[in-house]
Amino acid sequence: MEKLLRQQKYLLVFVALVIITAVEVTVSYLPFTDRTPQTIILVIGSLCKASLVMLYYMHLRDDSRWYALLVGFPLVIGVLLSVTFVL
Amino acid sequence: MSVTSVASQQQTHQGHSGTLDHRKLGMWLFIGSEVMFFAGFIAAFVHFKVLNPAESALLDIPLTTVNSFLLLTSSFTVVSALAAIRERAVRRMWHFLIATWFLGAAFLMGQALEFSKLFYEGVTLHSVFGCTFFSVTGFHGFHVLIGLLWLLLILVKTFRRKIAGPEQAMQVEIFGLYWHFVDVVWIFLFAVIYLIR
Repeated sequence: MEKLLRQQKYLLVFVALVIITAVEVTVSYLPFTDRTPQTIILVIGSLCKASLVMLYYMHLRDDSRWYALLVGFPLVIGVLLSVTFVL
Repeated sequence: MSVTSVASQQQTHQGHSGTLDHRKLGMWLFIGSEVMFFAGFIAAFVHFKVLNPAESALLDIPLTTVNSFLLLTSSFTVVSALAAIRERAVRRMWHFLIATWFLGAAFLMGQALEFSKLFYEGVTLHSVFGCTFFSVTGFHGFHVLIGLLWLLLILVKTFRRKIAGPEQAMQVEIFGLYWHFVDVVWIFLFAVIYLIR
C-alpha cells in the first residue's frame, strides 16, 4: 500500500510539473503589454517546479534538514549574486 | 552488527533517516557548488539578453519545450527506478533506467539540433549573446552527457548483478540526486533563456 502511494505521489508530481510547464509556455506566448506580470508568473512557475523536484524527487521533504541547508544556503547566495550582477 | 551499519541499512531500505550518509552528503555539497556555478552563468546571460533582444528572438521555443518535457519525464523515470530497487524489483528498475537514458539522449540530440539551427541563423560564439548562450546551455548539456555516462555505468553494474537490491539502492539514489539537479537547472534555464522575453 505504501509502495503504491509513493508511486502515485511521484506520478502526481510529474503531472503537476507537466501542467505548470504547459501554463508557462502558454503565458510566454500571451501578448502582455507590460512584461513584468509575465516575468513574475514565469519565475513563480519555475520556483514551484524546482521545489516539487527537490522536495519529492530529491527527497528533501523526508530527509535530514542538513541536506536542505547544504543546497539552500548557496541558492540564496547565488540568487543574491545574480540579482547584483543583473542590476 | 554495529549501530552505524544498522542505521546505514535502515537508511538504505527507507531512503531517509536522521543520520547523514557521507556519500549523499558529498553529492549535496557538490550540488551546492554547482548552484553557485550556474547562478553566475544565468546572471551573465540575463544581463546580455537584455542588451541583445534581436538574437533572443531566434531561439526555438517549441523545440526546447519538447526538450523540457523529455527531461521532466526522465526525472520521473529516475525516481521510479529508485523506488523499484528499494522494493527489490530489479527488472522494473532496469526498464526505468533504460528509459531515463534514452530520454536524456533525446534531450541532447534536441540541444544539438537547436545549436545547429542557431549557428545557421548567425548566432555564433563571436557575439556576446552567443557566447553566453552557448556557454550556459553547453555546460548544462555537458552535465547531461556526464549523467548519461554515469547511468551507463549503473546499467552495466545492474547487468553484472552488482546492483541487485535495496542494499545497493544508494548508488541509484546518488545518481538520481545528480540527475534531478540537472533537471532543476534546466527548469530555470528554460524559463530565463527561452520563456522570459
